Amino acid sequence: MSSVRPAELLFVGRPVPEKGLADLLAALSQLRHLDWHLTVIGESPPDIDIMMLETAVTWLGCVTNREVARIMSEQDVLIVPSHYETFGVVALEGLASAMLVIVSRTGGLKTLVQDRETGFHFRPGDVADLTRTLGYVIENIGELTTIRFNARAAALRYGWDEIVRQTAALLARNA
Amino acid sequence: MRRLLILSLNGDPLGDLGTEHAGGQCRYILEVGKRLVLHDWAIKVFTVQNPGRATRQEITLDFDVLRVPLQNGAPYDPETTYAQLDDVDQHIMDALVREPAPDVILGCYWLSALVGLRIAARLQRRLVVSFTSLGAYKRVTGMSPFMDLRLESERRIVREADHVIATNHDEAALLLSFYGIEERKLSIIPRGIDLDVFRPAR
Repeated sequence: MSSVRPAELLFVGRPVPEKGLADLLAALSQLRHLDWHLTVIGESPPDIDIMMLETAVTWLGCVTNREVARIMSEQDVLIVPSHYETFGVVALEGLASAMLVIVSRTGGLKTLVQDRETGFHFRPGDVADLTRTLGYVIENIGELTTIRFNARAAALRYGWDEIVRQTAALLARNA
Repeated sequence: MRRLLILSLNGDPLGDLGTEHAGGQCRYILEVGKRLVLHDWAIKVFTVQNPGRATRQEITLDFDVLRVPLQNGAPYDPETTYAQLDDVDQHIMDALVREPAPDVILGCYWLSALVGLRIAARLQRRLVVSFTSLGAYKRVTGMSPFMDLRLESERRIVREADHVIATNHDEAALLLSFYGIEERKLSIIPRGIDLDVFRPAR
């Protein structure tokens, strides 16, 4: 580890199985030898047992959008282990916050995040692959500043002004 | 001023983010809606009423959310809502009688788009759909009779809606290959983000 503090990991998601929180916790249970701390934003899913990890996990529950943004700006790594995701706005928020973003290679996530350019991919639902990828990122966290820079740059084209301009034009054509 | 009717049965734009049915779609409607008002649109959003929520709430001037109760005050759930779509449809039509007619309808998610097809036909308005989530993605987590129904409904929506917004090329490719959408009815507009709110620490 090049960092003197634990790697600060973040999961943000609704409490449904397809968001993959169970996969993330399973991967982290294989990475106890590394120095990390996980923050979870979102309601606690009823089927998740964090007892064995609880000392390294902080569960924040639901927070405001601005609070999510503040937390993202202070954390190192965002993990989006969804089994599928049509777009993946949480990953976009992580990119904009210049986090190291790890996503499952599915749906919109695989185009939103470019593997090893703006973040990292792993195979959806593959805990071993997630463990390898997450372990690599935690161990090299101080060496990945270029990817953080690229992440923010990639997010810049998703500003609301342009999205709303396109949306307003499309709606007007159909009005 | 143009008037937009947004149907978002599954997601309340003022829902608590991070709860089971409040995610990216709620944020999308809230953020797009607030900005469309500045482009001289007036917006009404219809969503299912969850316990403790008012039947009507102003988000900003010209941007309101109206909540449709399910029978026995049940909270939103896909199967419960699907079973009551006739009542939901009628409730919205009754409410619209008291409102200026919309110029266009945006249906978010398949259940909303199903109601959107009916309302668009009755009001003689065009329906634009943003699926948010597609059954063709979700089926990887397992098939069920309800998933069959969802896929069949999504195919019908793709056939009958006037336009569909995909959020990226992957979703667009799926709409073309799996659902057989006509290319002329398809646009790609990604979800957005507030770059002043989501930014690196200074």
